[in-house]
Amino acid sequence: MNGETGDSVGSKKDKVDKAGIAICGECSTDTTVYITDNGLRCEDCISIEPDTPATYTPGLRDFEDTRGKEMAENVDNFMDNLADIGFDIELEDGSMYEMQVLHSHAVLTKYGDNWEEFVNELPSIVADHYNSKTEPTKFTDRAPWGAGNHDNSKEEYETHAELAKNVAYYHLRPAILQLGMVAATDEDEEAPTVIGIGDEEIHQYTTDGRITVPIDEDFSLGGDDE
Amino acid sequence: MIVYGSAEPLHENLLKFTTHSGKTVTHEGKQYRIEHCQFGTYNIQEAFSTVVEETDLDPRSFDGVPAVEFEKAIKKSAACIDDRDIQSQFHKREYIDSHDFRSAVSSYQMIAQDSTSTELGTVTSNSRVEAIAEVFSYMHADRASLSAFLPFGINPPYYGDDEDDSKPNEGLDHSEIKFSLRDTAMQLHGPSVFKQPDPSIHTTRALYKIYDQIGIEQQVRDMYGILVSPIAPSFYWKNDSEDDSAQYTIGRSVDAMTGMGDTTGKWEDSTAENGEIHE
Repeated sequence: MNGETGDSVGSKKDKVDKAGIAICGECSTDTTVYITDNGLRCEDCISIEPDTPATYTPGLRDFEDTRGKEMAENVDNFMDNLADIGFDIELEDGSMYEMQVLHSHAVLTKYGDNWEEFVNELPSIVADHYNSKTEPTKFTDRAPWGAGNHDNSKEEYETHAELAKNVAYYHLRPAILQLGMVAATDEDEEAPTVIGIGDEEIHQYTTDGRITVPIDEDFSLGGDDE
Repeated sequence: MIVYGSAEPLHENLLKFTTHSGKTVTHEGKQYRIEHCQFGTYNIQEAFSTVVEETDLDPRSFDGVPAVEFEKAIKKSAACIDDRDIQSQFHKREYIDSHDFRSAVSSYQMIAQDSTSTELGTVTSNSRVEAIAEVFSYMHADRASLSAFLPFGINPPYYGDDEDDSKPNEGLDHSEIKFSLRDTAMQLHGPSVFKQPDPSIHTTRALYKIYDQIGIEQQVRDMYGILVSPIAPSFYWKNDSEDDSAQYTIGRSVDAMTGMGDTTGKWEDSTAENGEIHE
């Protein structure tokens, strides 16, 4: 114990978090206990190491799962190696939306050679949302300001540029997700692909771009309507 | 439902879930603790008081204390629902089935009397009322265990689904799965029927690994049920025709009768020279 107070305290190994009030696994006192590798322990018993039990699986004793760390490194490498492309889009109120690199790449993934189509249309779409005090969310394209669970969602936007991030995200979400999948995947593994289903077409997002298959009248997902 | 990518976050949530195990009940000014109350959300104080007051019997006593007397007592509790039509309107944790309580008393009596059952934990109660509190803990542990073992069948054929994460993979022996889960819990963690579990990260990793290998998604409630289960691992040892141990035993007896072998249980290496015997 190093005398810290609050919801977490320092231990010999790591910072440990408060779990609640329960029986300490070491001294059997009913008190505030903390999460440790050995189980629930009170402040006084956090540093006590129990006898090591015999085990069939000694390899799991000091096992360190490095998958999360590797994934984070993959993402860092991916972001470092992305070409430095960023769109600066002037919006109708004169504010400037500086699109981040990953989202700019998502524009290219989704729209390919037609990327200007998105960049040119975005200001009017943002203005429309701004004037009607709405923003797109996962469930609807017109929700009141602040209703979305996007990190940037707020009750009040001062400029179009503040709102543009949410609007752009709505249109780019599958492409951003695909880039995220590619980023987290190891080099020698195949990245999962994201499938987008529209009213009249199906999109498959890949490492290199988007493949669109139109749904014609004869298309069926199975079953028989007759 | 949370998908745990590794044992570490599961361990954290399992410990947080564990803090909700114990509830304090009172009788004549004294406090008693009932465990595993995540699996008993009915009015525990009322049910406990009813049993304590409606009978003066001690559940630790095996002679002359039929469990049915406790069943009669629990039936007077508002938490007890025996009407099957109404039971189906509730979650199992929301009421007490009098049969479950009677069964818990019977099992508790056996643990209290039978020294061979120490692998499930020893009865530590010093009074009748404390013993009744332990019966409630036993009943909750049994519920947790039942729920955890639900994905596994009782008898072969071994159903399963390689694509469904709520079922074991196809072709696996469910008795072996149940044995390995309970045996691992007992070896690394020990019994927890009457007390709050205290899993280490190592125990959680070992159980996580087993669930990973049998193709079932790891969940906190299931891990908890495995740890507090009142079923001894040996219960899952095979002793039916599927196992060859009975056949082996009969075979050895016949061999001995016909003078074809011995019954010392020693293994003789046919390739060994000079009649070496390996025990």
